Amino acid sequence: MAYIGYLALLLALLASAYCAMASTWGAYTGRQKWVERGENALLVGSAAIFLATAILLHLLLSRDFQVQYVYAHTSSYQPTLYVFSALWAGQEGSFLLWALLYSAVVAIVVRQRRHLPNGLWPHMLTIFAVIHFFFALLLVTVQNPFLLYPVRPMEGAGILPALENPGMVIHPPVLFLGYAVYSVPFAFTMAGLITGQVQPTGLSWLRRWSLMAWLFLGLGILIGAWWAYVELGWGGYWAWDPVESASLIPWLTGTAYLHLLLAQERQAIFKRWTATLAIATFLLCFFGTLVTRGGIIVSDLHGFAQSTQPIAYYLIGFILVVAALSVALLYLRRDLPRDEQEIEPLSRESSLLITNLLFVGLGIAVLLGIVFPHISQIVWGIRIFLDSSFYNRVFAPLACGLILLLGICPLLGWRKSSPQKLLLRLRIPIASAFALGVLLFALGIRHLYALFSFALIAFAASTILGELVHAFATRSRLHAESLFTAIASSHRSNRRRYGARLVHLAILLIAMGVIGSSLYKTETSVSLARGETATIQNYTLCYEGMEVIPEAGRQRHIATLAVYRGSSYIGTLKPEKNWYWNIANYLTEVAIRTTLVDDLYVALDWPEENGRATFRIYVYSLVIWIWIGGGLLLLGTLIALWPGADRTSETI
Amino acid sequence: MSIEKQHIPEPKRWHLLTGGAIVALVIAYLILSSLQGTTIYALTISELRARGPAIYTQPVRVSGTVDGNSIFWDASTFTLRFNLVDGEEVLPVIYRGTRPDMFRDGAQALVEGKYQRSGVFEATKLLLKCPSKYEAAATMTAEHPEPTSGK
Repeated sequence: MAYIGYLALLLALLASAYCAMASTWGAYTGRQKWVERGENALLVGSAAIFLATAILLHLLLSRDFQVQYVYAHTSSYQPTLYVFSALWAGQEGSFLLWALLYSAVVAIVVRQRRHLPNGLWPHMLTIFAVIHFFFALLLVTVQNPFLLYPVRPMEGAGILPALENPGMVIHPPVLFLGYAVYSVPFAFTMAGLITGQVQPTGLSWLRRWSLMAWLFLGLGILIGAWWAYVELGWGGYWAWDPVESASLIPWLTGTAYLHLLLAQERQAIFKRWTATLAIATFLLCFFGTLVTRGGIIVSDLHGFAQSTQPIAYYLIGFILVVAALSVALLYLRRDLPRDEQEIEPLSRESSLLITNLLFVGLGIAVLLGIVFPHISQIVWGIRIFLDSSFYNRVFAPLACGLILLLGICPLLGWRKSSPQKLLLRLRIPIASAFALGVLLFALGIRHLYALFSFALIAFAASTILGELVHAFATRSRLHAESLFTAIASSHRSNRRRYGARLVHLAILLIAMGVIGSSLYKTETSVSLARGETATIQNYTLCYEGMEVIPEAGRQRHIATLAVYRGSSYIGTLKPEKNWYWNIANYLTEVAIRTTLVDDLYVALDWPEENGRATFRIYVYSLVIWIWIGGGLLLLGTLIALWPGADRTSETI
Repeated sequence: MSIEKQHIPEPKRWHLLTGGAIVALVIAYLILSSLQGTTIYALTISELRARGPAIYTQPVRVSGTVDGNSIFWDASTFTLRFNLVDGEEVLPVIYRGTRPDMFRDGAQALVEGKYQRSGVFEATKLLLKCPSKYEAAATMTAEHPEPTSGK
């Protein structure tokens, strides 16, 4: 069975190679027949990847431990859900998953080719085929998931217990879907550069795909953060580990790219810069994989590899070749997209430009943080790491700048705005920022940075909300509708705009959660005998006892803590520390009590010993708003993506 | 819109570039100035010893293997003492905080903190890598409780 899987991968390799040649020939000679042959070959290649994935899944479900991958990631007592997720729990499997999602994206794009401008498609097909070829090459060489042992082991090693979490089941597919979809803007941009086409047809098609890529990547990062928070037990959702930050870089450049792309539908500005960002974002997705899987970049938290892996050379080679080709193309086409228009200092365009620089600056800072030890090794002969305070210092001011722009940008007109008009429209946002600042001060908040950043968020939020209210009120006046009908109908007629506003509000909620939880966290470690209590903030926890439950594969230690606010009982928390036989180690299962104001987070640090159990207790403020923001982000993007949302011309 | 008609008058272009360059410079300055005081040297145990008194005030990062026989864990005071081994070199470490889940004999550990005059390494951060057999995976971090800010 495993042989058939490997043959399917070989077929994918051959089919994509054939497609690349056929479509290049078709593009060169202008013969439609060859392009069609290329399309069919690519569809065959995609189907082959589907087949290979189905076979690996079958091998996992039938627990064929002779297959090395199955042995390493499943065991006979593993719950079925985690046998499915074992498909991407390992390195080979996650590459196969990425290739699978990519194949699905390509198959959809092939069906949609008529939306694309003439002449662009054959070149896009070639680019898709080359990427497909690269995935297939990895899978048949250094990432072969179908390697066999000479004999069949009796039992598998099993999935790592920390990966047994719903967050870890969906985090990799969502993130890889984001990575996979970013190949679409890349292929479109490259084909545009090759053909020298700069006309904006197909932009609304491209907008959809770019928005989807951005959504999946962002959601993938958020789900990963949520998994770290609820599962890893170190009491945080983000630690600036290279593995996490590597996925943030393409999101930052992708955000910059998305904003320019949306602006381009309106006005042809910054064309070459937009193209550069599309290419950079695509390559940074591969760079992220190089960081997590290559073993070159040192990662503290969850380095998948200990030493440089063969795959690192493949990835570096791919990144360098594509980057060199892109730079060459951008240079050759330096004259083509030159219809940049005048940019007034006070206009939507100029504020977009600054937004862009800020996002790219953040991306560069994160990239610098990741590669700094390697740079210092070369320059000074010693590896120097950057503390997480480096990122905090860079992010705090730049993120504030972005929030400020978020509040100003929607009030600026395209082309030109008058300062007087702007100041007039900023009255309410500025007033609400002050009002919130004073209110928080009165409530006893003295942290200067907290006061400032929450006031900024209030400023930006009131701009967005004010603008929505303004739009609804105008509509209700013009159409003589009730305000409620106006909200409903303008929602229908201008979905894109409202989707974008919702996404911006979602980002503000996430910012609020991040600021709250990083500035207002309390942490304590206590050792308690039964009946003893510990107090943190306004919570009091009483340790009531410990249960020890033997299960297949693990022994659970469950502590019971009664939680009181003041003197009234509000609930029970049961943190666990479980001994896993397959890894001969303990794993912590935290217990969290979430409210809209703060999270009470308890980890059992050490099971009862000499009558005392030890706990780590945290209180984080506003964490839940990060996840609520994530939900709103999904909703807003879906509204903007919904069919029919394209009809209006309003952007951003 | 036609490309010819919209040709950019030079001075306007210049404005745009200057404005962009100023913003870019501010960002670059912010990044470079943030490097100050956030750097941690990565040293081996022998390098650490060779750097003598100068290294006592500098935060450093040292990695090695945990010697199982040397582990002393007192759960009631959150004190973890162990020896970090790198080849022939042995570094005694004291860490106050949580005992990480994967902490055991032979674990690949990484400590961050300061080297003391006494020859003991006072770690403020202890990170562990999983045994390479479990390629995919989570290493647990445990950070020293930071002084709480805010309320």
